[in-house]
Amino acid sequence: MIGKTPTIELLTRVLDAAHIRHAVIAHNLANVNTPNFKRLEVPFALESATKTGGLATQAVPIVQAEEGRTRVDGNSVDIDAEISLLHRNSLLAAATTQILAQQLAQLRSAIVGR
Amino acid sequence: MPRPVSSNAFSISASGMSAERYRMEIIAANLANAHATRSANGQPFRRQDVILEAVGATSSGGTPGVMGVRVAEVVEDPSPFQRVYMPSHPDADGEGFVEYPNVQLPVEMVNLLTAMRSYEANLKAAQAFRQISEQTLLLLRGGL
Repeated sequence: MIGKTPTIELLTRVLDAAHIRHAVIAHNLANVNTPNFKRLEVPFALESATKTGGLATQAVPIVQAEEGRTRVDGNSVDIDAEISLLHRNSLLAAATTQILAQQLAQLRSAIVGR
Repeated sequence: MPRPVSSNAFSISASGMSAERYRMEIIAANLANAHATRSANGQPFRRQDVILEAVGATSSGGTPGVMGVRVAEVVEDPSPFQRVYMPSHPDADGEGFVEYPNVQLPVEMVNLLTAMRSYEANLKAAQAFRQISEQTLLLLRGGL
């Protein structure tokens, strides 16, 4: 397809990962009072691995986070940590969208010729 | 690209909010009945607890599904009733003690606060999702 540059492809993947990560964080927050629930995560390190083509080829992994601080009821969700992750993820999504918009604008100006 | 099992982020947050709201309702019922010495089975009221469970927690070795939370069951707290000496009370036993529900106000208030905080956290997640979705939709309009 014309215009599907590697950069746009990559940004799409990063945005996809951000959306899945958001769902995972929402899942953790929904289960903040579920006994014996262990938090899940989509590692942020994923995005830095994209240079080697890691993210471009494989599915976004959802993994069980390694044992952190666990509460008396066996739950390992820390509500404040999740909220800060949520903000970090939103920022990542916003930044990615911005860059994507820029790339598309560039493409558009190439088509229009101005 | 195969997608992991996950439902809409809004419905995940909504499941969390409704679960926490249900917890608040049960706590309200506990508080309302904190002095009810008679219930349907003739005994004093027993305080109730909500047990939540994760939906689609682990799909046998594969990627864990993320589909929110649901109320598994409502259980009665088996802890003993409070015995208060009130000989003039109509429900007093032979020694003049009345059995009051095993509801403790501080415990209920703390549970209420955690439920409220969790509700807010779920709301926050829903708001954040709306925000990033709006940004993505702006791409369709041709720029940010």
